[in-house]
Amino acid sequence: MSNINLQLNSLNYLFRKQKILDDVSLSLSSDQIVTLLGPNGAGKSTLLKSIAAVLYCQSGNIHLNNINSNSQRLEYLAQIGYMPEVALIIPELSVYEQLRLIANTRKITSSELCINRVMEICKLQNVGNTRTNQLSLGYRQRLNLAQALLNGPKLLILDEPLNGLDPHLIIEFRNTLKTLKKHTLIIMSTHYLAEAEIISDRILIMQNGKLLDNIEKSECGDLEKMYLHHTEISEVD
Amino acid sequence: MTLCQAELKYYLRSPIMWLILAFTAIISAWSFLLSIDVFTTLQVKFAGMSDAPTITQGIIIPMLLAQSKLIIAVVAIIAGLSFSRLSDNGSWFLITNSQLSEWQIIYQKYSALLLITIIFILPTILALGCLCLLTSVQFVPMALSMLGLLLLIMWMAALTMWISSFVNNSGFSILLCLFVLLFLWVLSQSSVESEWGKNWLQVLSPFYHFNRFNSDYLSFSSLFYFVFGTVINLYLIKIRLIQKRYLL
Repeated sequence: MSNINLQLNSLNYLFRKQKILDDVSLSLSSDQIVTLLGPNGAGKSTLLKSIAAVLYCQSGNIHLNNINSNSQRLEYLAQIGYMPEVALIIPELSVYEQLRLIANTRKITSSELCINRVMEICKLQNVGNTRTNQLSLGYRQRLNLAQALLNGPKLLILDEPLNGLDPHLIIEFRNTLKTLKKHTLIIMSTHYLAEAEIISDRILIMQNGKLLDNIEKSECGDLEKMYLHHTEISEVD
Repeated sequence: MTLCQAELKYYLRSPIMWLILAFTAIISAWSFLLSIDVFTTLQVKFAGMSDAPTITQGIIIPMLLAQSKLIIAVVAIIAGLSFSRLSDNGSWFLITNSQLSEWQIIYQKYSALLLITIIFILPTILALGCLCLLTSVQFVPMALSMLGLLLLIMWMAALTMWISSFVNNSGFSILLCLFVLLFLWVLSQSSVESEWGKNWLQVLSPFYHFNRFNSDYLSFSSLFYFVFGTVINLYLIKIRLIQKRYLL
């Protein structure tokens, strides 16, 4: 087991005078799959982008193993993998070329080795020479995940990774994540409660930019009930 | 694969680039043949003149002047796409989350852009090369003029790359770059010496400084204008990238 510690302290994010993140504090450690749940517009993607250092922390701070996401950004980026909601596709490149480009921009040494490894994990070997714009949605998501895994991250952030996947691919994806969690802290957002129930070790619930609950899955009982309870109460508030 | 190679692939795999290349090559070749034709026809008249124009003055420099106008559209299209297309296909993330420094990103994108632009002036360079082999040309004015064209391209490419980093739509970015470059060209066309003195606004235009390279001597102030202007424009791109990476 590797030792991973993610700390979020009083994270706030304002966009056009609207609070997207409202004083979010969180501490996650060790190798687990954490699922972020919440209705549309709850601030899930903004929170994940902040953790992935795609967004600059306006106030508050994020530390991964004591590395600050703002002041030590390059060091921080080297430790994380981020899979955005919309897959990064560079249409003029093949799958293999795109992975080589990402490896280069992330300054990954022994990139060939890393590319072969992620292509094997994400089962992309048979589409290596296919242009990325010709890939099906399922393969695009695999490529998206492969890009996030290239640097062997300690923290893997997945924004709605199950979107558009058929049941077969969801099962495959779940198995891949279970293998990865042995040495990685995984944070993912999803709208699929059933999948969250199967895959997660910890559940986070968000609404209106606030973190409403942070609970171990074994303690939460019926996830659907708990989710509806939290979000409805918040709606009334 | 480096960012530079990826950029080259993008341009070279785009059919529209080859179409523009074919179009500019046809115009360059036609203007070259036309200028040779006119120059040959006027040879009889030149025979009696003491200061008759040479091949350099009659063919080479006018060709490079024409090329400088043609290249406006090429640079506007190529550099206009440079950053703006990242917004179009959502790949700004590739830049903002890369481990490369801002200067490395700029260097790779800028060098790809210059390489592609040089392909567009290659037919003209080849034509001039043929002239050098077949006739006697004045080497210094020709070399100065070509240096001026290269510096002009570098200056314009840096400026338009900076513009494209602000625009989210690649079509609008190309139009904006085209508008700015045409404005700068028009600025250089205003009357040179009126009775009230020199129009100092002209010196802001890179085309004015390019014209100063079409002579027998090297203008150091124009050389400084191009080098300093290019560095400033590239530095502005760096500031924009920092803004994109850390502040937005």
